[in-house]
Amino acid sequence: MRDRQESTRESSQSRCISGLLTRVLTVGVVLCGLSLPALAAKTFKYRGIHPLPPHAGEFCYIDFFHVHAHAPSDMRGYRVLPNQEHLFVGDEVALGYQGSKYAYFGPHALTVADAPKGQALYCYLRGPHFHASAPAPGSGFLEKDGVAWYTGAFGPEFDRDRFNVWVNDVRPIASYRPPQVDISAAPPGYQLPATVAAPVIHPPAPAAPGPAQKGNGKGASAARASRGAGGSP
Amino acid sequence: MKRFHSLSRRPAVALLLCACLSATALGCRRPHVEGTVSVESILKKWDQGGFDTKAVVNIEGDLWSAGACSRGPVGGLDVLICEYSSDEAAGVGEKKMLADWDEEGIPTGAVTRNTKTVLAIADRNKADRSGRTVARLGKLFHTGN
Repeated sequence: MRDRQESTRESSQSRCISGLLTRVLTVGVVLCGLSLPALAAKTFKYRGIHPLPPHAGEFCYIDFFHVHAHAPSDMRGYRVLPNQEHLFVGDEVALGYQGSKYAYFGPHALTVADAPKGQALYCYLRGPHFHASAPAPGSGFLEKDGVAWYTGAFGPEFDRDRFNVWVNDVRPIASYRPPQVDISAAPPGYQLPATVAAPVIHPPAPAAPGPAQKGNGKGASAARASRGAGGSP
Repeated sequence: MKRFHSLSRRPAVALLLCACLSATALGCRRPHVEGTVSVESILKKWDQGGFDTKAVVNIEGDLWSAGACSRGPVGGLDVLICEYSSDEAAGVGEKKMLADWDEEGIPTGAVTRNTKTVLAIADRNKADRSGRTVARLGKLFHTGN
């Protein structure tokens, strides 16, 4: 008799949980149904060419203003202009661009057509890299052995926006080969700006995780924070 | 009665068709707003660039506040070219095009301007994922003066 009562109670509880789950799922589906059209009705603005998500080598070659239904998959290579346009400022070749390419070394000023007045933009790539466009004439570059070295001035925005050094952490596609040049080939008078020349602080070799640290992910966060701050003076 | 009515309209339709064909033979005149790049010259550049532009037809420009508009498929993309009489009007037209795309959630749409003529290219079917065709049309558009 008691067994039957317990069985009935369990069955009732099971029905109750099942009903609750059904209601939660129904509400979820309704909410999703309501929010999906809203999400689908959103486009993102882009200025110029850029890698396509998920940064596996596909590229968008539209070199003027356009919109996509998708946001950039990795913001570290982008600047957002005041009118919400996304401008790709990383190494295009490193993410699959195929076309004319120009070798650069170190950070430099960027020439952006129709750029907002008073908004200087800089490339924060530390070492050798490519861009799809050549340096603009008279914009402070010295060319040596086919590599452009920026010897012009850096405005206060360069230090202010130094968090952009994270562009150096963007992983290139497997087939990418950067220009074969290093700092020893620099023309006389060239200096890497201190903002990006600071050595990267590598985290110490991971020790065996203790019981309190195991699986909490704090080590990885600390390492990321350390790399991010690597360029700070 | 209906049949008679339909028959009575035939000569008029034939006349209209004749007029259209004659216009095509003479170069198919499109409405043009003075002082800006003409749709005609852009289509000519695209033709020379290997694109088939026969399906681009004149449409009412009111929807985009334009003086003249043409629209049709080119290279698998939906192309709209509108001519405006002022920069302000062109700006209003561009905003309207972008708002429509945003509402629609278009996969890819590109818009560019040459003087007071606006080109809008919509890739609704993801026919040009790399954007190379859009880029080419845009480049030719800017040499279409």
